[in-house]
Amino acid sequence: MARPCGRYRGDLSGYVDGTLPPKRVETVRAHVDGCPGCAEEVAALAAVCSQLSAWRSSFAPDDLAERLASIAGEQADQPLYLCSGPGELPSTRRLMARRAAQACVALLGSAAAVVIIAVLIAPEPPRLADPVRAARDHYLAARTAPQPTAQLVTSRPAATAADDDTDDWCFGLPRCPYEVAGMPLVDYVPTFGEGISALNLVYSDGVHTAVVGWTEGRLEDGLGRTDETEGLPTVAVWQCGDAVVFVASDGDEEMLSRIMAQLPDEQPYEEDFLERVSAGLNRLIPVG
Amino acid sequence: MMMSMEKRPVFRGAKAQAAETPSWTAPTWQELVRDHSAQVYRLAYRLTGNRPDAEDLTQDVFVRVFKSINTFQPGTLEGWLHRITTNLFLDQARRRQRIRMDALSAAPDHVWGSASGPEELHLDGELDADVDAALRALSPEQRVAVVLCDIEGLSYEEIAAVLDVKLGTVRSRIARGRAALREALAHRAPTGDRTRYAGV
Repeated sequence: MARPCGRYRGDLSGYVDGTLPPKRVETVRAHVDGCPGCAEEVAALAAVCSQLSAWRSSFAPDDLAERLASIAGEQADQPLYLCSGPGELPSTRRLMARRAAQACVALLGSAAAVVIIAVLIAPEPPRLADPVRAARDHYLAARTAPQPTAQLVTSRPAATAADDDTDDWCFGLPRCPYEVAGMPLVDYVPTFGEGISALNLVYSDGVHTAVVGWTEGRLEDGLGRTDETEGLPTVAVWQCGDAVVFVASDGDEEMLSRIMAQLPDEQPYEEDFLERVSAGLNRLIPVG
Repeated sequence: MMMSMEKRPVFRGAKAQAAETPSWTAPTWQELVRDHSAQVYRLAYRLTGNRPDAEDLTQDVFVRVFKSINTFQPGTLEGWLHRITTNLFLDQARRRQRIRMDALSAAPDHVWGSASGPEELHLDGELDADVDAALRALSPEQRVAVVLCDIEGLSYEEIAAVLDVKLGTVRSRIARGRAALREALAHRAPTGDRTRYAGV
């Protein structure tokens, strides 16, 4: 069987002078004991070390000390500027490593400070204190406003409407249905305010009207609810990720359920740390 | 009136005086030379391989020490001397290598001139011509590491401190240097009776 001598060659020198870690010594010894080639190498290295160590004595020329002493001239017999006490030799390598480590720590500290500042100054998501009332306001606005955009839908080719191809104008919601609970889409109202976007979709069949809304922000208490106050539009509102979705309709509860079935489910608001940092950084160092 | 003839330290400042312990007295230059010149010369001799270069290197070391004695920081004086000696040797070795490369001349294989003829080797008594030649054939860095370890008897940690390199670098240089020496001396039979290392 071939012996993996190559794995041990680099350790033989340390094995000879006893500087290997104890565990490695045992491993190398086990190999050397069974490998004549490495045993011979160890013996040869030991012989080299032995020969070198025998060279320790040597004699400086007699006049050398005198010549060296003359370097100081008349000051040769005066005490030198030397600090007492033990200590380590100064090390440029250690100094550079220490400086590099300090630079890394400073860099990390600065980065952490920037992140903390970014988190602190990141704009808070708008909080909707009374979403039910807001939904009813949207409903009333939709009922009272003229509906020029009714032509928008009616003028669309039937095939396109059937395909629900709303990518070019729908945002926020995963999809903007052209029809809910048998009512066609008659208007849509996008809003792009300062730090807030919203989209209202108005559905009506001439008898009933419903408004579906999507608004960036979060519910104050985070809880979805349904409000069926007598004489007022029925409203359902719920949190859907980083936005609030509502439906306001003058229909019954069944109609509300049918509309809600076509809309995304309730999802808790989850703050994305990276997005918050990014928003904070954008506020700290405006880009574009 | 008897004037105090106390010697005042010409190189010493208040900082040094504050740092020193009451029982410790700074040596004079003469004492420093007396206590350390032989050691420095021995290292210089093992590195350069011949007496004239060793004397020159020793002289350079002490001139450097004298000039920079006021910058000496607390630490081992021996380590400091080792460092200056090896640094000067390596600087000069590299300079000679560059000159040889630039000149593209047929310079001798080793970077230091070999003045160690048979008589000189004889004079030293213990110098072995084969080992000496093999040692001088090593690269300066390997030679320094091997000499400090196997001739001067420094530990790997001490060598790492003197050369200001990592411990692994010291280990590697010594291992490679020894392997090269072993190869160069392969024609000589191992002398088991002089073995002094643990593990063999």
